[in-house]
Amino acid sequence: MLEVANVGVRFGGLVAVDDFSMTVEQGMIHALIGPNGAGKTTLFNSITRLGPKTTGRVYFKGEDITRLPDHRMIHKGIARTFQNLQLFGKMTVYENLYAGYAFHFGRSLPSIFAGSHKSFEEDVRARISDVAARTGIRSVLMNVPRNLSYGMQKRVEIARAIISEPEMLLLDEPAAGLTYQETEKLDRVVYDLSRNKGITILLVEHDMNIVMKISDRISVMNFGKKIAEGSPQEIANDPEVIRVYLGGEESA
Amino acid sequence: MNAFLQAITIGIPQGALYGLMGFGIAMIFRSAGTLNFSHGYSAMVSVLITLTTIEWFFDAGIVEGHAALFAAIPVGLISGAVFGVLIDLLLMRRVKHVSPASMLMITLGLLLVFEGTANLVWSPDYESFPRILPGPPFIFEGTGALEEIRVVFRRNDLAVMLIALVISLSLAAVMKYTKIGLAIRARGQDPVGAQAVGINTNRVDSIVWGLALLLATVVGILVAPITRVHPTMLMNTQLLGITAAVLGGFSSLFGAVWGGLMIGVLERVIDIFPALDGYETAIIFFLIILVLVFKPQGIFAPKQGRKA
Repeated sequence: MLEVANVGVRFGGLVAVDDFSMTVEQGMIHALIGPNGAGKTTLFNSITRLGPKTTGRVYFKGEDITRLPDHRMIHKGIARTFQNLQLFGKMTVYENLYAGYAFHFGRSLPSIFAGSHKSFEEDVRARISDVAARTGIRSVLMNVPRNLSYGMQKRVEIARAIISEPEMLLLDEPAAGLTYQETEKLDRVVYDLSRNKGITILLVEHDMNIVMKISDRISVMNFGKKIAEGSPQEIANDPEVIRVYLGGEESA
Repeated sequence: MNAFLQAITIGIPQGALYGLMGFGIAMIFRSAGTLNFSHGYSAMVSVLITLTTIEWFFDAGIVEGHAALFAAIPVGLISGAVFGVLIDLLLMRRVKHVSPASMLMITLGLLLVFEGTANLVWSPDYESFPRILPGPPFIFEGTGALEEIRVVFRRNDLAVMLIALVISLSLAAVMKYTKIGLAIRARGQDPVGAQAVGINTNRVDSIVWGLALLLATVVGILVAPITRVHPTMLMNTQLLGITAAVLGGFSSLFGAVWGGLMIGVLERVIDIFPALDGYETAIIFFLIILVLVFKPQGIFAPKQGRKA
């Protein structure tokens, strides 16, 4: 589904990501983990091209998307969320979701003057209520995001990302800053999207609990390189990963 | 009492123009992220283009009399929009992710370029400009107990108020109900999020610049019969337009319209008192300082909710 081929990112003399390759299979929840400073977010941003210039290529369904402008990504079927939330602060949650879908409605304007307006409004209302129910934000649709808890805001952003029915969802540290209960709710939402909506998910995450619980496949990164890849069980028993995460002989 | 009514009658149309000017300035500020100091000056060049087109229509004998004005207005408006789009495409797009200060300096430079162009290509002279609604003013006289009342209402001000009202309402509808309005709002509130939902923010910026300068040209054409046409004809309107935007809070576009109306009326009301003659601008700017100190979000800003 998504293929990252030989991606490298440098900041001056520092190599943040070093010749990294990875393939995310369709329908999987694929997690990218690693200790602080391993280059996860840098790699993630270079996939979504918000980051600095990179070497290497990124393919989505065989198509080279390395040079695709940011705003075209979602039209290709790749949605994303952000570590620090990028919601529209002066719009209600409803309007945020509306904005998440409006730009996928054909090429025409859903204007008050267009005849297609009515069916668009009905369609979008049905979608918003469906997605809101799925992500558990139905009760806050009329609030502005800043009045919501952080966990709620994260789910609003996921809802905005999936309302256009993308094939792939990129999640940047969704559990960062959440309480235990909020994390639990969030991983149920993510799991549901994968299993019931068939969305392929790439997850960059710090929280090992959520990663071990819901991932189908895990890539582990350290110092910009991939050090392991496999199922959660394989990763949990991988001596290299244990050394990196728990500290092996060197640091002991 | 009469002087007060008269001040309001003249102040409202004047203020509506400040408001529209402020609306465009606030729109560029929120979406494209810079304070456009050349706003009124590019509109001034568009007014000069309109005037030249009127004269050209006369000379060529294509359109007669007052109709020449209406035939020339679209040309002027299109030139305004073209200036806006060109400023964004050729200048702002290159620097907007690099430095906000550079964007500000570019708009200041453009101010000089537009003023210089007007002086070079046209002339520094004052030229007269036709009114949209020519004719004698309306005079309202009270009878009976209200005999003292005598209010003069300039005929052209009727056109000014109607046009300002129609534009404000249609802009409100566009911002609220159309895809491009939604894109402009989203772009202003969170550019990264806007791209994530599929908005081409570069294109939104071009549209905002084009729309805002088209709007400024409308203001220029409406204000021209009063100020006459010359290189600094919109200096005052631009200054008070920025003021209107500050008063309304740059966060709310329609706050700028209300702010403009307040400034327009205030300016005329201050005029009533002979002792304050000449201090209108000083008093208005003093009030702005007070607003900035005590209500920096603008006087119409909603109460800030608690940060979650």
